[in-house]
Amino acid sequence: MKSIRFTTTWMTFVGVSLLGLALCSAAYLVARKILIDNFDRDLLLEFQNVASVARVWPDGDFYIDIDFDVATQYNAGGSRIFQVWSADGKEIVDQSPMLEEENRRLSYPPRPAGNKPYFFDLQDKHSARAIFQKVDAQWGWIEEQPDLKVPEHVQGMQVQLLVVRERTSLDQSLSLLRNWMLAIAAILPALTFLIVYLTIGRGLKPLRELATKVSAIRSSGEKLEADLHWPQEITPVAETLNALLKRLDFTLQRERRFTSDAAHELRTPLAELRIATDIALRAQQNQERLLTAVRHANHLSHSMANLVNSMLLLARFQSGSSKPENAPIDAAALFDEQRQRIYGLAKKRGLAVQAQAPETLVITSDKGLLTTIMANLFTNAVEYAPLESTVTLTLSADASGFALETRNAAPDLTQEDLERLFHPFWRKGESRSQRDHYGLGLAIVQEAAACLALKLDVTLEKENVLRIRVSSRITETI
Amino acid sequence: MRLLVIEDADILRQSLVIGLGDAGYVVDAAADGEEGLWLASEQSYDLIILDIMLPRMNGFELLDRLRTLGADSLVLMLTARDNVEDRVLGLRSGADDYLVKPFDFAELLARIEALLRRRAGCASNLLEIGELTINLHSKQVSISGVPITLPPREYALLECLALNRHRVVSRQEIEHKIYDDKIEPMSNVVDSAISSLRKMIDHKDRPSFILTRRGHGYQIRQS
Repeated sequence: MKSIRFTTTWMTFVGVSLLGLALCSAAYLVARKILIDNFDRDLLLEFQNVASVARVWPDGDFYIDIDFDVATQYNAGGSRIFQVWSADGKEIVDQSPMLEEENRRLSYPPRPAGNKPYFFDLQDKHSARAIFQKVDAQWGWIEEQPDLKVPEHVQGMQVQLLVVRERTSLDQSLSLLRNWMLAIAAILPALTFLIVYLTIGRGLKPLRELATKVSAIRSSGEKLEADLHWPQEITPVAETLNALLKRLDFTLQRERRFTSDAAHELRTPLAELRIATDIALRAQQNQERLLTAVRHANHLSHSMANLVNSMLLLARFQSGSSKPENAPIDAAALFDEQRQRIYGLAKKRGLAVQAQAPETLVITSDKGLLTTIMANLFTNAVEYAPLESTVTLTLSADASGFALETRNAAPDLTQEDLERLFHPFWRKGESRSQRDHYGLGLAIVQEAAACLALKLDVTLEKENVLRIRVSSRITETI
Repeated sequence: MRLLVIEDADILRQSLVIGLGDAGYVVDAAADGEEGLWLASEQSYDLIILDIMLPRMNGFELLDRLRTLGADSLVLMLTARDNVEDRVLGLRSGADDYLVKPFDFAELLARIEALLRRRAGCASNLLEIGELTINLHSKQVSISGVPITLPPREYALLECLALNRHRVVSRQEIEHKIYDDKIEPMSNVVDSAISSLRKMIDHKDRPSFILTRRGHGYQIRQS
């Protein structure tokens, strides 16, 4: 599993390493150039100093007019040397004292001298930096001896001057610079690694605390208590988790209530089944009792099967696995079919059923789901209406949609009951004596209507008449 | 012993009436709360089996009103609601016991026996009155250790007198507890049953186990 801490630390480490390496390299190169330029500028100054004292005797002999007792850097043990070639470069016309003492001659530079200074590295006894350029020898004798006759070529004598300076100090500086850059390039990523690792670890501490608190939650009814020390980034996570817990709790409560209600509903028929068979078995010689018990058991098994089927139907709707298969259907024919189905029960209860519907009404819908809705609504109206009362069933259509409506007297219902009317297993009163009524019919209607995106309204009108209306859009009317 | 079953589930109510009748009890039944309250307030029952979720009046309300009326019948609540709050509420409302559906009929019988025995002040199912020993569970009777067989009606009469051994039991009370409503008032079925029972348990050389308190009723002899 990936770790935010290690991934971030390593990414930062690699990034900082590359960046550090690039910056150190760039800094080194820039500093190196600056040092070398400064060195060369000093060397140029040195060169200009030497060139300014380049002299020629009236006889054409060239010399560098420096007091070497003062300018000791050119003596043995010094760090500077110079050597002068004739204009054609074939003859060495002067050397610094150190070269003369050591009877050493510097080899001619890689390219001839020009009018501009030419810098290059020179490998002599030591590593050195050299500057090479043509210079004019200084002629000052005319002012001192105006009558002195000197040939033209002597007065305008040119030489090639090479000034060399040991670059030990420069190399030391460059070496020091390089070492520092390398050290920085090595230490910076390591320090970054350590700092980022510790910082992220510290930054993730509230997340670990959050995880600890979350793992301590044992039921969906609990919630995360906000910690004042938590950073603002954690608070939305905690709030989201609390919202999730609340939603989970709502769903779990609903599921628990449903399971509990279902178990509750099954208890009485199970008790009936057990006691009926128990009593029959205690008097096995009594065939009539055994037969009665079998009849009771058969009746109860049908009753419980109805309950289980209704629960499964409701569970299928609630799970969202029931997808409507829309097709053009004649809702009026369906309405008539369901109306006829409840006719027998209505007659048995002395109810007057008033039905109103167009002859045909073609809509695009799922026939199975619409049948479920009609069957449950009509059955509910007929079974719960008071004896000898009137039940009104209406299917209507207009330009904007269709509406299915049931109206029946419900003397015991109150406005408060309407909120719970569609809750699974809800029934007015506490009696479970009507074994074929489990309070699931309207819950199924609600879920089926949701599947078909139908609008479901329930109102309690004057004189406690319950009106349930399901409406949708029409696609086609014949 | 006369019992009242107030239960709205038809099959359960009918089965209980049959089963308890087989066990020697006289059983009345009601299918809703109002009818149950009316029966319980009109007649005296040794024990009432009461469902909680009843149409027209729930079991808690019925029990509350019954106790307000001063009825001291034993009440065994029978319900599908098994949470602690319901049990506590039932017991605090005046119920003597609580049984959760579904249940075994044998357990129901045992609880009824225990409640009736406790009401009669007996610690065990063996009730000894002098030489007479009655097993309230197996419904067997022995005299001086010798078992005797009694028909159900005579046993019920003996049990009724034995459980109320500290007082005189009137003829009407015996009629109510032992016979159903089909017998005619002023009939001599109780006298006949007493006579029959005496023949079965009395010894000719000893005084009768059953004493007649003229004008009041009958009482079992305790020594």
